[in-house]
Order: sequence, then C-alpha cells, then structure tokens
Amino acid sequence: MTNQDKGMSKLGYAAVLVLFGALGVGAFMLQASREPAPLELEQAIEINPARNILWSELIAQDNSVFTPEHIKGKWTFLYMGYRSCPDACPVAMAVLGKTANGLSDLKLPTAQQPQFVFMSVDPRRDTPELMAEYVAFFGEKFLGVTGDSVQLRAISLQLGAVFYVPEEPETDNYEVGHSDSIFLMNPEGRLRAILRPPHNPEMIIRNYQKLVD
Amino acid sequence: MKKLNAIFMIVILFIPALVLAEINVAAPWIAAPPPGSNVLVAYMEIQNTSDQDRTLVSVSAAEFEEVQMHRSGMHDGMMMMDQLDAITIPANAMVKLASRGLHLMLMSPARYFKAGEVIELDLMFEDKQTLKIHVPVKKR
Repeated sequence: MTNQDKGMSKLGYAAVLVLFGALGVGAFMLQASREPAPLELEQAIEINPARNILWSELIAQDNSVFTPEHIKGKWTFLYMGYRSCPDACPVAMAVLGKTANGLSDLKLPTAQQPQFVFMSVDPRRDTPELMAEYVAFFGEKFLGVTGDSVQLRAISLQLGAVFYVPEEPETDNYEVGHSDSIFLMNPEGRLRAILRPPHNPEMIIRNYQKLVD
Repeated sequence: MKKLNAIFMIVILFIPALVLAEINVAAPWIAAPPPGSNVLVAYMEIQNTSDQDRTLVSVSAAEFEEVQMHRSGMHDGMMMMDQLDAITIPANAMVKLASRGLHLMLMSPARYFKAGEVIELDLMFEDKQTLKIHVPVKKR
C-alpha cells in the first residue's frame, strides 16, 4: 500500500464517519420531531402520546344516551365524583366553573372551547334529573353523565382513576370514595393530561393553553 | 337598686366572653350547597390563646339533624372522609378547618340555605363550655 493509498483510505474512513454521524443526527431529529419535548405543566401529568380510551355508552343528565362520539370533536374536562359529596367534589366543580368562565373570557377559537363533564360514580342515588340540577349550579357548560357500575369501572380503569361505592349500604347516607384528579381528553377522545389536586382555575387555564397550542 | 341591676347585667353579659376568651373563631363560612344537597360544610380557623389544650367535642345547629366533625384525606388514591370524635386545639395554636382537610358537616338541613344567609353554630368544648358563632353562607 502506498502512502497515497493510505491517505485515501483515511479519507474514506472520515467520509464514512461523517455519513454515519449525519445519519445519527438525522435519526435523532426525526425521533425528536415524533416525540415533542414534554410540556411544562403545573401539578399535572402529560400523557404523550395521548391514550386511547374505549368509551362505553353512558346516560346523560337529560336521559339521552351519551355515546363515545360525545367525547370527540372538542376538548373535555372530566371529573368523577358523586352528587352528595360534601367537600372534594363541590370544590373541584367550583374550580371547573371558574375555569370555564376564565376560558370563555379568552375568546378561544371554537376548536379550543372545551366541554365539562361530571361523571357520577354513584348511579344508585344520582339520577339524571338530580344530576342536571346539580351540575347547573356550577355553570351552564357542565354536562352530567353516569352509567352502570361495570361501564363506570371500565372507563375509570383506563383513565387510571379509582372509586369505591358500598355494594349494599345500610342507609341512604353512605360515603363514596373517588379520585380527585381532573382528566383532560383531546378532541379525539384520548386522555391527554391528568390534573392533580388541589385544583386552581388559573393553573388549569395555564396548563390548558399549553396543551391546546 | 337600679345601679346594682345594671352591674349585675354587665357581669352576666361578660361572663361568657371571659370564660371563652381563650378560644377565638376567625373567618368562619359555610359553602352554599348545590340544590338537593343533604349536607352543608363549614370551614373556620379556631385559635386557642390559652396555655392548655382545648378540645371541641360537639357542634350543634338548629335546623340540622346533626353536625359531624370530619377529616377528608386521600386513601389509596381516593378522596375519603373520616368522622372524628373531637378536634383538639393545642395550647397557643390554631387549627384550620379548610376544604380537603378538617371540616364540620351539617347534616340533613330542614330547608335549603342559600348564599347570604347566616347559620348559628354552638361549639361545645370538653368542659361543657359553649361558644356560639354566626357563620355566613357563601358561594365557593
């Protein structure tokens, strides 16, 4: 091998290295473009990519069927609770009511205007009629839904939520245990973020703006 | 005689204030309930300025079947409530009753209470002394 050949092969190595390097950077950039950097949310868990949820058919507050299609087409804030809940639910619902007002003041484009769903995990006591009255107290943008325990359990499991309702309560004055998080679904009906308590409307609005951008 | 009566009245009027001077309740409020609600929640700050622990053993209110003391908290990722027998306010300390923590539950109201009304509560302590407070109903 002559000196010139050696020089050529060195050049060859360098070219190969540069080529691989460029491929590596390219692959990294491609990867990066597929998985955008996590959003800096406050007191919230971003779900990325958004998690597909199989929505069962539920009963809406006006006795109509709440189909999986109702969760699509717009962003949805979902809270799971029960109507006779004295402390956690009314606090969260009042915060969501203020969130709704704050967001409507921002005059967002139609596609970014969310709906607010209260899902009762206590269908034994929370009839559609009672729920309608309950959610209206917190704001006109709320929709109350419920279902049977199997449907509710299936949805809550997928969301990562938990709830407990006594199976055979001795009185009608029983307590229900439930997650206190607010779940945010994107317009495809997929879970996009879990907002952790204690809830605060300003914080939710800041998080929401980052998510819908 | 009139003078004596006046002095007597003044003494009578001031006794409760003197006796419970070491307990102060600040910022009490009751959350306006959603329609059909069978329970109302009261929040407040109870300050004990004495050198002895004081224990709140019961609370009563006219127009309610019962007033319970509760603590909300997370159990296995679920929001649950524990009913308490009493709430102790340590010496020279303040106990805050706030949402997602300690609170009073006013059970089975005789009628619907709306924001703007005032509900009278009797707080009874371990030595049977009672403090009457007037608590406004407010929107959350």
